[in-house]
Amino acid sequence: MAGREHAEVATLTAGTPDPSSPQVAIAETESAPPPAVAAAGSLASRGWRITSRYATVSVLIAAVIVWQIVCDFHLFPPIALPSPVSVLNALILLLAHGYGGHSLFDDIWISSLRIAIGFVGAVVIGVPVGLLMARIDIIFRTIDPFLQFIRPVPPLAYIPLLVVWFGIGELPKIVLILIGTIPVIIIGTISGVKGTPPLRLSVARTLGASESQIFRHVILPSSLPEIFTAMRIGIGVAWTCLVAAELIAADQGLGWLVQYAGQALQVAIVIVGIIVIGVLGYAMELLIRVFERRVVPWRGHG
Amino acid sequence: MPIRIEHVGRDFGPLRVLDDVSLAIEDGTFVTVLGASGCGKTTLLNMVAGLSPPSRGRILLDGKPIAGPGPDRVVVFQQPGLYPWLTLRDNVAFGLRMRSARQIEWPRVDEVIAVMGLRGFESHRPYELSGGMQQRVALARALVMQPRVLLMDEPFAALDAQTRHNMQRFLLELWEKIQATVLFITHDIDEAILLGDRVVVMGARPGRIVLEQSVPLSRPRQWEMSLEPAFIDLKRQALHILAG
Ligand SMILES: Nc1ncnc2c1ncn2[C@@H]1O[C@H](COP(=O)(O)OP(=O)(O)OP(=O)(O)O)[C@@H](O)[C@H]1O
Ligand SMILES: [Mg+2]
Repeated sequence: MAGREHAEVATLTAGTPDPSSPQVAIAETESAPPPAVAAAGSLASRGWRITSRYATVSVLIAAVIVWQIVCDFHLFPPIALPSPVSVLNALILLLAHGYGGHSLFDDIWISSLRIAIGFVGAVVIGVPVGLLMARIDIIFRTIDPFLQFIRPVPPLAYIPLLVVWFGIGELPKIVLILIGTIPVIIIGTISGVKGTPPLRLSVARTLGASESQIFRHVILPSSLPEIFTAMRIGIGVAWTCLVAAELIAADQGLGWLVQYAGQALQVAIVIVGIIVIGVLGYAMELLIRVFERRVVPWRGHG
Repeated sequence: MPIRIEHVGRDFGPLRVLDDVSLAIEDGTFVTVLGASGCGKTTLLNMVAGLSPPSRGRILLDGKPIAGPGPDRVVVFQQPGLYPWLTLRDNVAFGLRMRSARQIEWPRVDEVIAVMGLRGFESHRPYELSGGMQQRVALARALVMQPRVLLMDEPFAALDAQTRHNMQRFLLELWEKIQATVLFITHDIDEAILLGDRVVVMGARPGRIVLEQSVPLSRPRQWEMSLEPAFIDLKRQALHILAG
């Protein structure tokens, strides 16, 4: 998870070549080498990205072929390891008839809704709390111990408590997402505020900005890139919490689908569920990246 | 007399960085400060800017002690320090917006942009500009405030030789038009003499003023003046001090 995050941040910062063409023109009149170097770098990284996309697809295809071969030779009982073809059939069946009384789209919809509410809630709560903590020391010292206490406890441990308190409705799932995701957002926000380059602050001071103007016009935009990083880590945490909650206490949703099918030993459906969860998680990450590129286009440009 | 630095000292913990620095800067003069790296030039400039207080002595602006930073003493730092989320035009207008968001004098902003030779790049982001252009934006952002005093901390040190040379010429022409009060820090002797009405040379450990000399060259200044005997004389004196 951590490694994956790293690689993506790297491609994200290296792969924004859009504004490089006017730079070259300026470089001629201004004799500044860095823009030309940057243009060459982004060109190289674009080529590398295409190559890596091919690599991803090839590995995927190879894995599926190996999987099919392993199944054809009956190395494992088919009930434990269904073949890619039977997984595909399970998917078609799920799409057509659903499972356990509701359609696959119901499960996708309900899980996405829970994620959206929990995640947006975590951002809406976490960013202001993080900003306050970063700015006001007494607030930081009050809240930080609780934050550090909550963080190392795995979300699974809260579920029995949440079920006792809130039953198995929507509330415990959303609360669990909040518990898991808010600390991530808070910590990223604090780190973004603290990471504001001192020069940006000095410049604003000498231009006559008040403390509140500095906060609004310098510190807030400076911390946005870190807040987005926190959001991208947070969406992964939110999925982990949600699926955990649905595995244990739900009658709908993708986590429930995986759990219910697993109890019935319908491994093909379990695998379909896992794939759908993965694809949805990936899609949400991409959505945040698009949003990020619009809000902080300067990211990676200092 | 806008700036009087009176017996100013500055300590960082046990480290005595500046000791008994006194300097008067008259209206409309260009004072350059030379000194070895680490002798306390930035420390001195930051105190005039109001970013940090002196440990001893006082600094007066128009007779009043400096209490903090203010738009009457705008600083151009060694790095441009532009805001990457703002366009060139909004970066230049930043100080005016802080002063009054509703009535930014856009004609003046655009005029300064034109004077700086930045026209056509108004909507560019800082990372789309070359280093020299970024430093000119920083200068434009300072000039548009029409400050009482312009403080410059090695503004061209990070640039390559050719761009630095262009910026020096550019600043000379500009200053001869606006005649602002400037405190300009550098460790480039030629730059100090070529630009300054007066040159101040600082010694190190603790930082103090060793030489204060007016530059016996006429205005407007030309690059070729660096070949005149008066220039070379002053350069020799400064070199002697800086070499220890
Ligand atoms: N905030 C600080 N805390 C502790 N020491 C400091 C601080 N700022 C500066 N110093 C020390 O004061 C001395 C002078 O620093 P200063 O930045 O003023 O030097 P300078 O003359 O501007 O050098 P340069 O030409 O390299 O920019 C240095 O020895 C530095 O280590
Ligand atoms: Mg310095």
